Amino acid sequence: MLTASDLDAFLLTLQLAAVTTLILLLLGTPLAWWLAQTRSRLRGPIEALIALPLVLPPTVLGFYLLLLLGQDGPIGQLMVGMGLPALAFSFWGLVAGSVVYSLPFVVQPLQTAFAGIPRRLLEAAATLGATGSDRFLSVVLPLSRVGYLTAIVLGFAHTLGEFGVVLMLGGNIPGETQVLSIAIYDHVESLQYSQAHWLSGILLVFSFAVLLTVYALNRRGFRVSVP
Amino acid sequence: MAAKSFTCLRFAGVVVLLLQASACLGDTLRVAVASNFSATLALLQPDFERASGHRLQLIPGSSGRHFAQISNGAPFDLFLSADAERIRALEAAGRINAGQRRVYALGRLALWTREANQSVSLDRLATLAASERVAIANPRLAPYGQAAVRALTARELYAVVEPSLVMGENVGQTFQFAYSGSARFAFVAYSQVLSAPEPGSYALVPDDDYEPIVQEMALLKESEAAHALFDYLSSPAIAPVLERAGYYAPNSH
Repeated sequence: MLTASDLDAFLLTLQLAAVTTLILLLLGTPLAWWLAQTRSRLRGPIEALIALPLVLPPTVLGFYLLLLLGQDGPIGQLMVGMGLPALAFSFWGLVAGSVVYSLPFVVQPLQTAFAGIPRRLLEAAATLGATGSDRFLSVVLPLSRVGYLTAIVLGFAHTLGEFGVVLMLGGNIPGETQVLSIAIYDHVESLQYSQAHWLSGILLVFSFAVLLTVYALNRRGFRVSVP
Repeated sequence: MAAKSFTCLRFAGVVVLLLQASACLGDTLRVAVASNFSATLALLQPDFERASGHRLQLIPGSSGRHFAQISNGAPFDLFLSADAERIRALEAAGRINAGQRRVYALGRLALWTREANQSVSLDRLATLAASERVAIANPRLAPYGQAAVRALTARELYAVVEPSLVMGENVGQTFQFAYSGSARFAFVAYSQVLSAPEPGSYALVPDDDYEPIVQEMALLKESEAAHALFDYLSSPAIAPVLERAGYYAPNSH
């Protein structure tokens, strides 16, 4: 049935998705806020740049990331120069790749949520003496709860199902960069169809359970917030 | 607060995992192996591990991807390619030292169908209905695809069969086309036929109809363990295993 390396792949996938989602929330919040508020001419080009991973084939993205992060690439050289290992073929390389790959899935829902907050609410809070962080924590955050939930679910789920980028950038190393989707692909390629079925089934049931839980929580959250 | 401790746990988990990985790095060899040979290498693995005391980590995949990754510094010790060209390209690029490549197996081409108890032959392909599909590996990428095209051409069947051809990215996908029933026949590696989840029916393509499918390997990192595996895989002692798995041993042919 499941081997130890299948289990490793499953845990690694969860770790990758969790770390990536966390980093994306930290990066995505200021970025989405800026995009929602700014009138800068840079907004268009930056929005387009963020949306690129939606359009580019993941293998293309993975190949460019490999060239960028590999030992001869500009970022790889920089890392090696600082006495660090190059990012390609390591867990943190996968994190870097996944952050790029899942960026639009976190930034876009946040941006939509932020853009939907009426300006006068923030102005009213400011006249009542709320500081910037006060306004963010007690006005913006509660009002964009659904946006955050969507961003977390999409960011996590998209990283969970990632394939092309991690295949190219990770090198398929068991216990380090071999995530679930790649373990399944390996089983299929080497004609171990029954193991592939098992792993795919687990991924399917797990993903469905996560999404179901989130949507159920989301609906309950709505009822509580609308008295 | 809860979210914070959750995060810390995740990070701790990652650190532990990385430590574990580096702790056993010393005597574990990472072997990038062509998909078509990975099941065979897995057969040899326990024998090698027992005899040498080293451990193997198999990283199956397409040789094109392995080649791109090795060119960008992938931490593999040995590379068993599905062809000879990529190994020669690595040598030309200075990624491997002179003389550190060898032929480890010769692949054999077979024509396979999922239907049991069929009499399969190349000549029967000429009588296919227009709607029936024949799968080959993309000859631009895969040596088994090139061999299939050559065999069809040698029998003057290529023009007849061409409208029915569908192409897999590699010989693994090509097998899946026939296994799933999307294609009635597929030109695959004999090694796949022997390890197929369902026996189906097959015919071996005669050796004279195509150029030998030479599979070469390269030593990527100098270490006692890597040399041990490199020598083990080119020793005549493993020839019977290779032949049972559907290959010719390098010097037998």
